[in-house]
Amino acid sequence: MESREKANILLVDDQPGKLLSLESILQELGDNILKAGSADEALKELLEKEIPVVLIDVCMPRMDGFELAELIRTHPRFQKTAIIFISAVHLTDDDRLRGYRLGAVDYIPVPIIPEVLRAKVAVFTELYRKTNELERVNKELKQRVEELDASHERLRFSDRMATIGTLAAGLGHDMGNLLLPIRMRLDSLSELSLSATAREDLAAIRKASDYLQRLSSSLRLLALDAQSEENGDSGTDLAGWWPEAEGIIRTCVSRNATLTVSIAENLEPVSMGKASLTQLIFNLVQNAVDALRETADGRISISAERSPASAAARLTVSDNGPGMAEATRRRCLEPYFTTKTRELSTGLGLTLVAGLVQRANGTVSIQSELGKGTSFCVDIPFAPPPKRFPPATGGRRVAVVTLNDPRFLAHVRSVLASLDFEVRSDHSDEADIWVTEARDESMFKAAMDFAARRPSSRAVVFGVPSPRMAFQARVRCITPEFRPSLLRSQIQNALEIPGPGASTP
Amino acid sequence: MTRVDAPLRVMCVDDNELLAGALRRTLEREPGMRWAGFISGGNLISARILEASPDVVLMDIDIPGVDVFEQAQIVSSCAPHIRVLMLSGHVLPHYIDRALDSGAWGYLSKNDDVPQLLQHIRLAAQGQIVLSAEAAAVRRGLRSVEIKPLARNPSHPGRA
Repeated sequence: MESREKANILLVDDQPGKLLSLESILQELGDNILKAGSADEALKELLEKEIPVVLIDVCMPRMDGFELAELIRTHPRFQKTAIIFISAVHLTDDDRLRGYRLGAVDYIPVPIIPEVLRAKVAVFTELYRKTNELERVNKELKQRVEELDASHERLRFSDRMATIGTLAAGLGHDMGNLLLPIRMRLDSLSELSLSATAREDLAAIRKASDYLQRLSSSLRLLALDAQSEENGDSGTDLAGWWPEAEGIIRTCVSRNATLTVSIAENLEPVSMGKASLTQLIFNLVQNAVDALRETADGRISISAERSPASAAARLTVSDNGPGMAEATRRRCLEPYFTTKTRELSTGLGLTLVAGLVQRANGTVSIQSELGKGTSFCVDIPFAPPPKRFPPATGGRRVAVVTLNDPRFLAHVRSVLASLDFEVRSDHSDEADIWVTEARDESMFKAAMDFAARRPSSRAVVFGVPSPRMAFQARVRCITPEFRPSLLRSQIQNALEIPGPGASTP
Repeated sequence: MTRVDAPLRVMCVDDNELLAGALRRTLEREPGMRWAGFISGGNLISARILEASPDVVLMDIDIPGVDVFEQAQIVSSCAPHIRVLMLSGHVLPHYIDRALDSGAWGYLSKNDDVPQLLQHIRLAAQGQIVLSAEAAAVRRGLRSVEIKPLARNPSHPGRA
């Protein structure tokens, strides 16, 4: 058990000798003993420290014990202080009564019996400790209740976020399902010879359906679980991403605000997936829209340019709203921090932004000036150039694939093409790798011969005729379990091409 | 493999009749393609596909009460010349993997452009695995995917 809390016991007596003897009796209790030689000293101690038990000698010069007790009791802080009188004289019942009337809890005659004194004092120190503990438990309980309330609140909001996500995904999906037949019918109609008005109508309908199409794809982007999104091999091209995301991002800009967009040309792809990027900008624009609620001529701008600081793209979302106070600016990325009412805000939008940027190893900076507006600057690193086998020096590598099964063949060709190989079905001298199957030793020997032609030549063989053949440096064997979903990583491993599938989490 | 001059017979499995109707109109006016009918659901999907024996089947992923992957698996193992392509609004990694492992020749998105869709049907018939741009991106970006065991064991292709 941890050491128990020590209580302060104050001894008040004008005779040092008596103080000493009281101290020695009470020391055994293990509490703090404080000594005062006069009423003044006692009051001083009482005001400075928390003292649950006071032992007072009744007979003292200047201010006697009764007077001191009366003074102590008048102070609200000492209403619960236990006062014990000690006296060799004044032992009449009247004296005792007077003492009790003044708030004493006990009256101990001299000569003192040490056990009795200790027992009496211990009752009050113990009471004090129990009361303190109760208070502590009470406080803790209160804190727990508050925490529980807060986590309920959080749960409610994350529930709502999840619901919104599901709703967005479902809506995007259903819209897409209906838009496909609409687009097909429009294509059919446009082949007919129509009057000028009908063609005009058709063009208008097509424009509307194109808009809905973009809205549907960005709705799905918005709903995708950005946390599990990978950026693929090549990152996201901002100029290509914007038209896809534009639909949903424009929907959150209210009528009293205008949105201007400028995306610099020739930016390298950034290392963030499309869904994450959409959610990032959506939330920043949403935040700007909220900030502009009271602004008549609201302006929001989105820009993408090369970051002056690093090999990154700088995305900036600015508004001309009221700006943020310094304290808000510092705290606005914290979870659940919001300056809006809860109906309007979950306090999670900017936190999500910070999370997405952090995952991409990017940075967020915020400039804000009261009365002028706020700019969020997000730097997202450019994606590393796609990995090739082996690091391409000149031209594409040539792969020859000879496999019997047409579907197997098609899958292998598809994977190799996605790894940037030029895929052929006939042998040529330019071939760098040969993907084949080895049903017997002679087929395997042919693969070995191929691989021996150049130091960079490799053969990838499905199936191993005998175990001892599996250890050829330039012939990579893959167990013949045909699962298209595994094929890409199998071939990547065999050719030692690093890829998303090869990196360890 | 299909003869060069014969039109591709394309079948559709989808519970959305609006889509089936529009697809029919599109295929009927597309040179080199022919509508081979549509199935809106039910447990006999694979049997009906095998009976009609089209060149290409466009198959929706979520048809109530039907495991379309199992149906695709039956079709591809009984009649490898029939090319099943998934056509779905959901472009999710585990769906793409399950589809391809079940013997599908591709995964197309309902958000693709119509000409691209038709081009993918042709390429699949010619022996290519086709993934819509969206599906290809999702597939490339994969780190790891939980793959459920298939209902049937695919035979070793080398011996097929």
